[in-house]
Amino acid sequence: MGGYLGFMWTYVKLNLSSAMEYRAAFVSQVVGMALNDAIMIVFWWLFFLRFPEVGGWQLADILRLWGVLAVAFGLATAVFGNCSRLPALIASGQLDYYLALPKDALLHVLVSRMSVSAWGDVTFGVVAFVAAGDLGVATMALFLVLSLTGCAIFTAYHVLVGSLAFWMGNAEAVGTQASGALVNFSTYPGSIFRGWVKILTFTLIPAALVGHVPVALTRRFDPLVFLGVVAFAVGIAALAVAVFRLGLRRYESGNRVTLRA
Amino acid sequence: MNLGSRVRKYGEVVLVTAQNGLAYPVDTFARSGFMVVVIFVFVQLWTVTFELSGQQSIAGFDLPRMIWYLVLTETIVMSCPRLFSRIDQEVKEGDLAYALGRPYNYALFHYASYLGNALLALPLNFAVGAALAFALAGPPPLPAVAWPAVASAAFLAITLNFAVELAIGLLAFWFEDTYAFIWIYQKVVFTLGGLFLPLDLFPGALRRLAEVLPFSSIAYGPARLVAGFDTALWATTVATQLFWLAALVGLVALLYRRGVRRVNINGG
Repeated sequence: MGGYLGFMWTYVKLNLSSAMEYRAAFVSQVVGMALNDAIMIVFWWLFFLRFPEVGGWQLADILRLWGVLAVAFGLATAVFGNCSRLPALIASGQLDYYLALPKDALLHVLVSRMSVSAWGDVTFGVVAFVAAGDLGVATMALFLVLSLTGCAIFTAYHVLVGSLAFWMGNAEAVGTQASGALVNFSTYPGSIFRGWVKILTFTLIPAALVGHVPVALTRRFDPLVFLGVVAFAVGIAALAVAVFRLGLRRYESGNRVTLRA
Repeated sequence: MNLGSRVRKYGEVVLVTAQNGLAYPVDTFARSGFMVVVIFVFVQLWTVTFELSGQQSIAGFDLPRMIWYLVLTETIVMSCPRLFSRIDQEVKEGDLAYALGRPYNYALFHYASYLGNALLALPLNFAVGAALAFALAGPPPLPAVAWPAVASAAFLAITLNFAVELAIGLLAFWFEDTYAFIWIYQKVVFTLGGLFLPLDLFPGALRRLAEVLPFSSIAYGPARLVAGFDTALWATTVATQLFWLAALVGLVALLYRRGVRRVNINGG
């Protein structure tokens, strides 16, 4: 486990120092993304000016929701930056490089790219959560843990959807739609989803476990629900690894000669 | 070259680009599929909001009008191809230098190519969004004869977006990275442009500010026509769009002229 964490940390440092080569671009992307997220809060501010509450959700809950989601999504695309590119990498036979190396191929593929703007999401997420108020050591610790479980769910979900490329060939369109659906469902108050749609947000599109349930936990902690979220994150991560390995048996090399410097 | 030949030339670019889009039908249809997710989530949000507020109509919008409004705003925004990244890339990698020697106007060539993609996506996105809105909220609150007028405003909105994206792409002459500009522009259209929330629901001062900015001509202006059409409103909307289009064309021309002076061509 320690070896894997060290490996990931080395890649994060390398990717960051590589991004810092273009310092102005780095700063503009991080600041731009943080502003981009912040403008969405303006929409919700306008919305709640007109309708102070939607099924128990208020502006502070939206700030917490966007806080947890932005950190989770930001970490997923900053640390595991290739997660959304898996369908393209598989379809074009670009896994060869990772398969020939001793480290776990899936982890290596995921960490070998970083989305620079994702650090803007992480920065915004922390600011949004703090701005929601009602802070304490326990709440901040919970925020950190739930952001990490959210990151695991986001990444695993993308790996699962991306692995469809082993069977479908071109799964880019499906991957983009599935990713968009998860983000879309998770950025709205959980109270607007009812019946079968609510079930969907706990299963096929796990938006509730990434955003809605974490917000409920920061409002009122329930150890059983918390353990449920952690168990789901561990379970979906294990399932993603298993499905990727199963898919690898069907992988066909692209015979591409590439230079990685 | 006379006007007819020019129109034919750029018309060919529109056709070729549209044909390219049709060569990958799965991708084209899959993109329209995202409309389903977006409209579906909005329907959930507004259904619950209307239900909890206990009101039938809010600022002139009842639930069907709100849903059809969102179908229009989303159709327009989701049908706009991502032009700025192409311009940004051409400026940074120097491909623009090749375009300078070719027998076409750089901006018009890109406009034709942009239209080819947009005119393919527009009916598809609208059909998908309208089908869902029809199923969830009933028929649109608009007489059939008014649709061509709404379509003309939607077309101008897409053209306005082209001018903004071209201007942002051309900023690559001066800035190392233009992505931050486009993200912020997109989100300003989401909010002050009225993509998610009609300006009628904004507080007074903010509504007045949003109305005088160009962003509302891209989303709110054309979509508002669906919620309550009258000829005078349509004429005002189109006149405002044409005003902003003229201003943006002037800005793009200025940026292009200044930017091209910075292009250095060495060797062959």
